[in-house]
Amino acid sequence: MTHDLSPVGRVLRSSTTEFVVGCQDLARVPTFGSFVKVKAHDGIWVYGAAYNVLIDDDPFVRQIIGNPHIPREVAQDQKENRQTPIEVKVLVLGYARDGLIYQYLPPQPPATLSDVYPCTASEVTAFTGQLGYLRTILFTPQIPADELLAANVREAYLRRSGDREYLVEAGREAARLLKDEYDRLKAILSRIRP
Amino acid sequence: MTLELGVLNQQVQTMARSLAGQREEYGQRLERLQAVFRSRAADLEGLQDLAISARGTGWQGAIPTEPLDATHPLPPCPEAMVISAADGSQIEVDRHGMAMYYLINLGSIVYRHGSGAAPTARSEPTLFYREDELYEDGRLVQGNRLDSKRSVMELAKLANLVSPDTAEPSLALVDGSLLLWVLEESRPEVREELVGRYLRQLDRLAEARVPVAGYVSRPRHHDVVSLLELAELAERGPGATAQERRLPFPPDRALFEHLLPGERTGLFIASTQTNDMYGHHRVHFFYLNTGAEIARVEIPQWVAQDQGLTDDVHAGIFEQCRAAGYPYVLARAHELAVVAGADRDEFERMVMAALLGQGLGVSPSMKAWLKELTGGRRSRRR
Repeated sequence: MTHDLSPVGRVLRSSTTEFVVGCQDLARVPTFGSFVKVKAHDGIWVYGAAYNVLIDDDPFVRQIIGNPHIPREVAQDQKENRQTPIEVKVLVLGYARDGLIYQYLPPQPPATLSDVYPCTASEVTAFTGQLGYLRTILFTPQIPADELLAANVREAYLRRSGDREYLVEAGREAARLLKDEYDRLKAILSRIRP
Repeated sequence: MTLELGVLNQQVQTMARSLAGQREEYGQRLERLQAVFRSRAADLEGLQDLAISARGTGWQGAIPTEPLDATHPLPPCPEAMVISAADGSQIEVDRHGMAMYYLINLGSIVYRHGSGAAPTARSEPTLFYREDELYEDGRLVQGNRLDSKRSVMELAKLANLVSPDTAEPSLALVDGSLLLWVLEESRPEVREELVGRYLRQLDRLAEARVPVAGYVSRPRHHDVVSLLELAELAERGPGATAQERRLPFPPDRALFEHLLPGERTGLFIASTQTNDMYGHHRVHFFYLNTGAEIARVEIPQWVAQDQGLTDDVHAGIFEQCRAAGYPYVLARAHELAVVAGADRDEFERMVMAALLGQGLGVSPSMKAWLKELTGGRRSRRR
């Protein structure tokens, strides 16, 4: 598999269900809900959706934060050459091997320091050809699941060049998964309306 | 717990009382020094003669090149300026470790003032393990020797960072003094060799006309104070001996509290044995109110003799202190150089894995092993 884009960061720590990417440059941080991929063992590409970005402070930033005269170069330095990496949490949604998509958890998590890439439009299209992964998002505890699902569906819709059919199918799948939770469903549907 | 805090408490209390007792004496002494400062402020030639004749007797202190109370206001900072800094940290040889090696990690930064762009920042580790790297002149490279090796590498890095075609004013900064601490080396030819390596890098910066400066935060130097002591002694006539010898000297910065933010003192020459070896790099210094503290700035003679370059150092350092009260490039270079505990552990595991991979035994010494079992982590110098 080739990738048209340069890495957004590297794996800081990982588990079977999620991993954390360390990024240096805020401008290149994956946006909320967007698809990323990382190579694991045996030619597997693990796919996931970015769901939380943490910009941690460090003692140096604390010291200069209250200064009214921070030079532009200093502010730019702290944005682009961060000493403390920006942490992006990624929910694992499935994996690809030999061109086939599997929408369940991979056999092994990616190793630390592995390069993490944004998914290309064709990869997003291939991965979202099935909608089983929406269940993973909706029923993962302790994440902003509804917001993530909506953001992720909007992202896929755009990457699929405004594929209305996909959007309708994703809405139907959400309705099936949330058949007993009308309020949650309503909130999600209102967020993915084009 | 092996530290007997109950026993120690008594000693701590005694120390605190003793320090409190000295404070009054210290205040009186400072007042006296300030009086000498005022009375001799204009007597440049007299002080110079005094210092130069005392040099022969091994006296170390400041030789003034301007009246003592001379001050220079902050010159305007050039709109564009390339400011670079380098700093290093080291992991010393651990004789009880798995293998004999040491590491120097250099942090460096090139900051383009006025550009609005992010600086270029870099960390570059180098591992030294060959016989000729571990031993110089039959002695293990550690402590003072390693410090001076690191200082040479910092300057070499700065010289490498200089782009010869730049038309903009520039400034290169190192943390601490420009005077290498080599007096622990007993043999003069070894001292000369160590200083020589340092001076060759200063030569490169001089050729590029890039002013280099050493920035000393919270300086404890007492060169000007030593000069005032000398002057006072001379006033009291022959046969007088220095009083209150048991007290430490007040630092020079206590004499320059009157500087306004941005103002600096006149230039002084550091009269030390090491500085005599520096030739046209002979170290001059001034004190500067950075807005946050009275800092000491050291520059080589070829910078001191060029008003434009000295102004660039003065204005550049003050500008750099605006963000954090300390030159930003030095703070970042330090941050880029420091090897944190977790990185160090990871590095040691890497060494162990590589040695095992080559079929080499990796047992630490019996002593290191016992320490690991009986105590916390070994404490090591940075």
